[in-house]
Amino acid sequence: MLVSFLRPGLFISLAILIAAGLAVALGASGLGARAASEAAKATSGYTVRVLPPASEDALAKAVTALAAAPGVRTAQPMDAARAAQLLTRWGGRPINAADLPPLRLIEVRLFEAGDGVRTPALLTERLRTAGIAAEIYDAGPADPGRPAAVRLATIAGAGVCAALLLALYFAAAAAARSERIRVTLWADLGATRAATLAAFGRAGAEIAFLAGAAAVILALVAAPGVRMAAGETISFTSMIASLSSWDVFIALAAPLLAATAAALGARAGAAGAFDGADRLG
Amino acid sequence: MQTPLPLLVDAAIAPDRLAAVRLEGATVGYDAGPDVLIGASMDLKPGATAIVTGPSGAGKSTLLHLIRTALAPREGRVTLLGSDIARLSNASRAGLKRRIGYAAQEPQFLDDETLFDNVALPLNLDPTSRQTGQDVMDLLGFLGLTRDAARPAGALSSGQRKLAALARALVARPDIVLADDPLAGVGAEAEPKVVRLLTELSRLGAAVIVAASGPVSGLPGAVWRIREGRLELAPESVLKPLDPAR
Repeated sequence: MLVSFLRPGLFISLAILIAAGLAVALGASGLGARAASEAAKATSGYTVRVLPPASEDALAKAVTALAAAPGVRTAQPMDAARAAQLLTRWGGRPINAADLPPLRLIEVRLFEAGDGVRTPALLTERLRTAGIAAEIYDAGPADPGRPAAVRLATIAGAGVCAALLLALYFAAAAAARSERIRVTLWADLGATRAATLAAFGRAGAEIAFLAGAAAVILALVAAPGVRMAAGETISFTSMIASLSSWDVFIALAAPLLAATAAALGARAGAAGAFDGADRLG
Repeated sequence: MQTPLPLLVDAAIAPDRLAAVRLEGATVGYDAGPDVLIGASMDLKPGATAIVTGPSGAGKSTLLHLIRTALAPREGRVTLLGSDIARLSNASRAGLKRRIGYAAQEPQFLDDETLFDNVALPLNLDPTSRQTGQDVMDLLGFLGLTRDAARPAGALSSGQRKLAALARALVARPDIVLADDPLAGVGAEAEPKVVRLLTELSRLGAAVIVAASGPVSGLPGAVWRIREGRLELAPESVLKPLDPAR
């Protein structure tokens, strides 16, 4: 091989760089998945409206009946402030809680994502058994911040990947530029620009691919650490189970993406050096 | 401008449509600096040798840089192996460079790589080359560098680096050989070997140009001088009878 960047220092630096990036990307992906799961759980609920005529007692009986239903995590009367908050969000304009009439609403949250057909029927049956007439609606998200957290985790993961690829590009370009004597010699000995760039591109791709492969192994070890540092409790089994197809894709694609970025960077660095060396002064 | 004397001088200056090196009123300098060589003219046929002399700083190395296409003439024309260098594409110029062997006064090497790899570099860069690793070893052996073949180039002495540069310049059997002060610092034992190598390359058909501070003992060829930026044939070469072998 005419060019080789396979020097231990550079190899280890690249491997650590890629591994760190991968760990953050995979960690962000895991946090995103958890946030998405939490969001799905949080939105799996219903709003129950006790139909008039109804007394305060009817509302309390309905709460008791609903709380006792299987799969229900919480059943709580909705106060005016909460109702105003939801109505403001749904309607798009501010609603004053003091202006609202008695709504006789109950918020029901489930342990798992609800069965859109069976759960409402079950709740209706429980309420009818308790002698209460009511209507059941799908609830809005309990925590509107959760979808944003999912988006944030996705953006953070993508941002880290992009930054990593840029870092690899510039590292490879710098490594190629540091080979100025080699490029000058080649130019003097009649190497073409295309052949020079191709050789440097191959060298950049080679070291980045190997470093990327090593980094995948490192990242698989480091990613759980990142997630635990973020407050997640995980075991080896749960970690394997939590790997999404996207995670597997990232891990498999990392060496190839790294090789591509480094090849482009090495070519760019060599191009600058070659053009300087081959200048007909 | 020096007028060639075809019937009275060495074949080195005989005009020929197939001249390996032809300078026609070439003026050259560095960047925005003054002219170093002014109106230089020279014809060198394949198999001919020119020894360019002059004091330090006269422009001998600049002449070699011009011929190895590292510099472009400000005026005049440089034709190498039939190609005007000013009209060549980058790819064609690269191809031309592969037919030129250049041994610098202070040669550069890939210091972390072995002497063998450094000398073999021209062969590795030219997939059409017919020379092999054995040719590299033969050349190193002739120059007394066999035992150093596996050493990093950075570990060589300055004399060994000069010899290695010559080996690298010659290994691909170039059509034009440019050697900048090739005997300086190589040692008394190696000097006749260097002269013999250059003579042999010339005999095989290469045009050889050697820059030196004075005549090179044992190396046949026309002697040129550079004075105040002007390249001129030395009187002893002008009056030299034709070599019947040429």
